Amino acid sequence: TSIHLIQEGITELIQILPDRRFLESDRAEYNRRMALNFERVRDFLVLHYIATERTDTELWRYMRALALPESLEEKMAAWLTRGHLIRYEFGVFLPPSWVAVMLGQNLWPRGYDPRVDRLPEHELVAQAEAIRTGVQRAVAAAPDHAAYIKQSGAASMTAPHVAKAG
Amino acid sequence: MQQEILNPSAACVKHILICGTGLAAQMAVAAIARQVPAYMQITWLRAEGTQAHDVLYGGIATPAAYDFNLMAGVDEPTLILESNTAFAYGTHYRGWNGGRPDWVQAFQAPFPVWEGVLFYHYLLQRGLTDIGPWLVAAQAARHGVFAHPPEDQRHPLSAAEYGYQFEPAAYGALFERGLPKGITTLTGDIVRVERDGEAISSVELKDGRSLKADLYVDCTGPDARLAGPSGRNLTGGQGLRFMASRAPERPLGPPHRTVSAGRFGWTARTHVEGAALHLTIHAAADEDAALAAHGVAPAFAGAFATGWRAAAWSGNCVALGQAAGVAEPLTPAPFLLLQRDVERLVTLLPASLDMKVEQREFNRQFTEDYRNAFLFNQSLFVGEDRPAGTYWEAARAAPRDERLTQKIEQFESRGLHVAYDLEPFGQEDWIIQHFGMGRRAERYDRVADHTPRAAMDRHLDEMRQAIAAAVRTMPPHGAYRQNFANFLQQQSGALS
Repeated sequence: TSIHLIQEGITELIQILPDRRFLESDRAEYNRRMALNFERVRDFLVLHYIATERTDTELWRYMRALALPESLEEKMAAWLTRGHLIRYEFGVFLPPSWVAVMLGQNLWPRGYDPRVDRLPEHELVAQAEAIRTGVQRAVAAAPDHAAYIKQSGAASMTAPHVAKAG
Repeated sequence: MQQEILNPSAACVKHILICGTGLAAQMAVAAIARQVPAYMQITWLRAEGTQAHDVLYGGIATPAAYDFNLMAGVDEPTLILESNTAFAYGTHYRGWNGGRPDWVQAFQAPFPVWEGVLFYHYLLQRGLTDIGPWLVAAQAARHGVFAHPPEDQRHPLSAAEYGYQFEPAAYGALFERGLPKGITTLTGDIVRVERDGEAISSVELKDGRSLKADLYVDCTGPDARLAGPSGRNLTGGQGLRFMASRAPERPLGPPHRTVSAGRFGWTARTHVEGAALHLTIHAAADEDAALAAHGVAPAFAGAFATGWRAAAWSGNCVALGQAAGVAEPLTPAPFLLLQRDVERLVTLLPASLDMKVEQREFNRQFTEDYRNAFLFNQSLFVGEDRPAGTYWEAARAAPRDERLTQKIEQFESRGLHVAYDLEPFGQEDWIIQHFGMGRRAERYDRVADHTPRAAMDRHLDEMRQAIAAAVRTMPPHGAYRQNFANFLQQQSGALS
């Protein structure tokens, strides 16, 4: 997230690079874009903490008691009610990321999109099984992480790569 | 711990009542009926009489119509073979800019990016004020020719996108063909809507029948018989009048709608197979001038106010189309918004009788869509050299949305497009409009300066000439449509 926000800030600054007049309209547009980015990243990060059942440290107690931003409350309400993801065009985290965090935090929807009921259950199960099997096969066929980096031409497994001066 | 998933049959919506006769109802029934599970019953209540206000959808559909139609069970062969629908590259605006050239507001695929810069910045860099020669759809529209974009991305025509010109009655009838079984269709006039607090408890008909449902969908037009006109809180309203008619036309006119400005307001000509559709929008004070410009005796006339409801979904009733909001058909906004209304409801069909979450999200998206679409319309009134007259003075005097101010300011400052989430009109639409409206950008993306000028001059010239050459090879719109229809008929004959 931090690296993304750096990249985003640089990209927006290049797009809205000022001239010597430093127009207010340029400042306003840059700030609007970055504020939106920060707000959406904030919601995503806070989501990692708020479903906790932990109370063993001050951090977790603080998070349990945190007043949530309205935007996050709406996202969670839509998800918990029917598994609906509120979508935006601008924001770094795509729907699969939100689903992963919601389910990872044990936030399971109570209902679901009624259109699902159009499909016979055996078809749904078969399709889900096909996806699961496909993922398992792809993972099984993928090389070991370290081996892949090495075969891709990493300079060394032990010595850090340091650019030579001069 | 995983929470218990609701049993799908417990406390869920089982009966949807869709009320309305015209385009909104036809499209909503077709789309929703194909999406709901078997346990959701749909009743369609059609009122007697015509839907004159359907002309206010403007008769032009954007490229987004293709996918919507497929969702609603209407494919393009059906569209062409079973209606008088024609193709559209966009809208030709005439006399909109005083003495400045007119322009074609063309549908356009995403702009190419050259050396990391959107191509139009190279036009700004050179002080060029007309983007049209670099838009294949605009050139084809001007020459009255049409062809489907080829799959080969190297062909200039592949950058064109197209929509449709349509006549509401014929277009709407397509959605009624092949409706899924099980829909109950009734005809009757609504005399009363019984409410229990915020919720509707029944719809009472003139013949004494009482209709009850779990979800009520209001597609009854500006009268909003279910959602209630008295509860309306239109935002951005403007009172106007319209007149509409059709006149025989052969051969088929060009692949674009033409909007021509006048002191009274504007007139539009939309071309469908066998006819030209005339629509005039004017201020009440200028009826005579509008009638003269309209050119033929009006078949329909009436008044309307633009704006949108504070909340389209209230309790167990959701308004779609003109029951929710009315946009001036100066751009494809009205029909695009209707499509988005229907799509939005399909994705937010209530999971239970407690619809608060769906209601809140629907209204959030609804408000954003209407607000952003109205920006696109309002932008056509911002600038110098607009005609004088009651209509124009009222349009100029309307409060300007701050988002529009930002969009125009940033374009005029540095050619930058200011975008909001999931706008109905995208970057290409806005940039083409800015150029067409004669807006000049003081600066441009300076990264464009990295590219050697002569090389880019050649590139721009090659692009312009390739487009012109491609357009010269394209057939007239009418001939293409006829040949396409013949081909489709042969295909369907071969398959049967």
